[in-house]
Amino acid sequence: MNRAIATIRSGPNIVLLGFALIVTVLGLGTVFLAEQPGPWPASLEFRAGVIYVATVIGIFFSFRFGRFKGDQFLLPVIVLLSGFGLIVAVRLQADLQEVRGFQIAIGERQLAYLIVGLLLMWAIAVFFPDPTFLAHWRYSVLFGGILLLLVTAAIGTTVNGARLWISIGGVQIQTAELVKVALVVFLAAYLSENEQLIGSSWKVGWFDLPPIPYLAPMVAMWGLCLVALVLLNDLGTALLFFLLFLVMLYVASGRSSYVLLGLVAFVGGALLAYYLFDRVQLRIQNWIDPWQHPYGGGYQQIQSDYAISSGGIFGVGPGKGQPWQIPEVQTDYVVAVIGEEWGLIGVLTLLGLYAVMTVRGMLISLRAPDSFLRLMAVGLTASLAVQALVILCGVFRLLPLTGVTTPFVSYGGSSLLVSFGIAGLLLRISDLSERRMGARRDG
Amino acid sequence: MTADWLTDTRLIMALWAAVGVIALGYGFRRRKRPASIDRQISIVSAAVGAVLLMLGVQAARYAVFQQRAIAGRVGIDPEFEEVVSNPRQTSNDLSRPRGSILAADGSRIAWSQQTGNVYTRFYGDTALAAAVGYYSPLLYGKSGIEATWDDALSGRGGRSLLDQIAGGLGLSERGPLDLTLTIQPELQRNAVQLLDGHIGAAIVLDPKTGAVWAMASSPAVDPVPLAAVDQHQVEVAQRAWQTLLDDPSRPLVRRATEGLYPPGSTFKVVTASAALQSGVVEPDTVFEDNGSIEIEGHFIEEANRPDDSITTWTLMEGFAYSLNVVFAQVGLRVGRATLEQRAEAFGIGSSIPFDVPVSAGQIASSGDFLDSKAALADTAFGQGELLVTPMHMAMVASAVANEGSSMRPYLVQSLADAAGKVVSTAEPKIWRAAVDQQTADTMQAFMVDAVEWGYAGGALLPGYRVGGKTGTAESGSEIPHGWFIGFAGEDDPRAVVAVLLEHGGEGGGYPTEIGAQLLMAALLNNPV
Repeated sequence: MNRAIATIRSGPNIVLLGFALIVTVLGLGTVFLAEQPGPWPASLEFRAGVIYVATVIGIFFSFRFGRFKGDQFLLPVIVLLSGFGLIVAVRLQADLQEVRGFQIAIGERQLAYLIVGLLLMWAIAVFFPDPTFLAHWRYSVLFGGILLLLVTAAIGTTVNGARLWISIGGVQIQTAELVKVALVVFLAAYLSENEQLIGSSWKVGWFDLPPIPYLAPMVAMWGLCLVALVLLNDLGTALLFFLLFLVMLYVASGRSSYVLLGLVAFVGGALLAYYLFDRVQLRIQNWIDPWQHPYGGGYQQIQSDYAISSGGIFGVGPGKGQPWQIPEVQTDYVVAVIGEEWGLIGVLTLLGLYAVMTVRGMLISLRAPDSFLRLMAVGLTASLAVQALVILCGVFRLLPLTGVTTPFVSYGGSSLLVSFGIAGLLLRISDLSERRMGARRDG
Repeated sequence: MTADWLTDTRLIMALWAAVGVIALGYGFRRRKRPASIDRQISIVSAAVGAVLLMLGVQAARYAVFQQRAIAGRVGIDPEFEEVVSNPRQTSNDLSRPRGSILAADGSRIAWSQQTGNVYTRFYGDTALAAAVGYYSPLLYGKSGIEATWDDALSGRGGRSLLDQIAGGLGLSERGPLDLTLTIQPELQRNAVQLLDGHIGAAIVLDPKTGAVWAMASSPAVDPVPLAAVDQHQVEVAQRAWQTLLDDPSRPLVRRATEGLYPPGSTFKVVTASAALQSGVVEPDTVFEDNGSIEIEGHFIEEANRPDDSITTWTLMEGFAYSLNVVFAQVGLRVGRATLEQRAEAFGIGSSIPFDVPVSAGQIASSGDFLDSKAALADTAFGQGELLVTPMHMAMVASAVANEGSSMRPYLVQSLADAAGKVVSTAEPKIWRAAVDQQTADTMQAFMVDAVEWGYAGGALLPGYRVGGKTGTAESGSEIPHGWFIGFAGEDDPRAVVAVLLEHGGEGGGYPTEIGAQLLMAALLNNPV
């Protein structure tokens, strides 16, 4: 049995990777057949398929011959997730240009982002130094992140009411994505440093309050999220940051009362925001009943509901739906495209992929050699998982919709690159852990 | 109209509660282990898994369980006054041919024809068109037969799990199907003409099979302007729709199946059946009726006695002369349980399975209403809190006319594909055993008596055996609702009718006249 584990661990799993690539290629092929834009050798579908498969296979061989010892399941899962994203972007390109008057070719761009992202992931997984050094830079990382948020709030570009982007030399960067990683690094360092405080607490009335060193950053985080909410006008980012913080705090402390307290504080903040900001009120109303304003605020949600339900169990087939009916479909509602064209089966596949991604990330954390790397792996995994849950719950009406991207699937450079960077870090930690464990065994 | 399950906050809360329960349960199971990063990590993973599971449940609701309600929902924005509907269905509906709807004699009621690059719905006789509901692909969706038989008419596969699997495997490709209805054009036109200018409904059906020969509601919705397919027509349609919405007589309520009214004295058929079948009374059991009765301080006045000097009446006479004081006593003697049981057997308070939705109505609004003797007495002669549709009363008459069994009513006789090959035909089925045969025979005799020497005399048709019961239901306003239910045949009943006129006055007046004419026409139209 040990040998079986050893062989699985001896190189990226070619069978799973092959499956992910075949699904992607078949999807692209079906989109081509549905749209018939011209001769196949000149088509975007063909080009995208060839370049994507070539890059993934290149990374596979690099891992194999570079004796990469990291996790075997993360790469195939991510390749399939971003394969779905590639198919959707390619599939939407012509429709969005035609129907919605898009100037940019989102399929071409998504392909480019994906290749850069995959290479970034590969480079981090192979060349990044031992991330432990980041712990020493925790405060610089934190203040860097806060500074980035403030800069965004000051000079950022407003898109759809939320201020999330800054332009540097014509390139737009969604800074919150970077801040997310900074947050994970800081919290991992901070919480692992104060590990011995776990278990100690003091009482106020009935409540077990965390010791001050925990309480202080908790309050600071709560404030930071409200700042994000108010200055960036972005409920999704605030929710994401705060959930991420709660997950890491819980994992480090093991106290569910902190989570409860944190959730209560967040709901309180959200209620405050509800009464203070019309925008938040509208979001909530459109969540509870989009049919109150079916042609106004509820329009997007209703069109998404139509798309997903029209797909039924098997979907109408890639390239055969009408996903362009949903405003902002390429970022907020990619899962609605999957639902319409790949049906319930496609959506469940997506959910399953996120489940596997989460489990593998958590396993990487479990095998990490020290508590900083463990917490960092937990935080990185949670940042992807929570983000996926927040947007999926938004689309499926379990939460108000917040405009965060669907990791690896949504269209968008910043989000993709950061997601791939996170995956690269996870792979790096995983590789490092396996090597150290191997070294320990050998020694 | 349909409950919007998606917006149901209770459901969303329930799903989140389920997440909490799963995560907590998992957490408790793991609690035995000491706090460690390992334990916390596995609990966080379980929480993520639980939310993913709920997302899967939601996805299944979208794709399977509430697929039709979500994909087909249509609404109007109050602010922009724009109609929002699923563009996929609209473009499907416009770009594909749709099956025709034919009357029983094969004449076309509604059909689709290509106009430019879209298909438009056309209609023959408007008197018949109203019977099939409207079809408005751009604006208001579908109603009536067009809605309930949409899968067959559009040629789309069904949306049940099996149909979807078959569709996914490419096994269920088929074209639109033509529907042949049981509606007989002559009879339907007759019913529409007789109701013209009145508010009400009339139903004629075959008691032996449940085939509905005519079903008219007045006022009716003219489907022609609503079938708009281009911008100019859309404006006309929107004006027509607004007129329908503004009309105080509410034409959008299809009264034959959706209008709810107290049944008045027509309900005495149910009360008498309950009494006779349970054996607590015989047809010649004598009751006292001296003009009024007091039950627990509640006075019931008798207005129906033909001769005020007579104070004792048999059940048979009480039925023919529709004596409320007699039936109040019958009701008390029958008791609450038996009366409710019999009413349920006749279908009162049930949503009758039919080709268009039927409102269920009620025997009483709350469980303890009938505990009061006064309420039970009121209910026994058709008032109290009883609410029924004309279809319910047609079923009551048809059970009496058909040896005690109500046949499941139907409007769609058969489905045929484009080549004219019949792919399915309606099979007459018993819906409920309402009363036993002996009681049904007695009730037939009672109803024949009511026509031959009682108050339903207006329904007399020379040469035929006609039974009937009139009803005059208090409506809360000055003028009561008028009812007539009845059957007719050479010997065995071959046709059943139910007529309701909102604020139509005495049931023995115009409602009975309409009923008699429709029965006559039905018998002539369907010779033995």
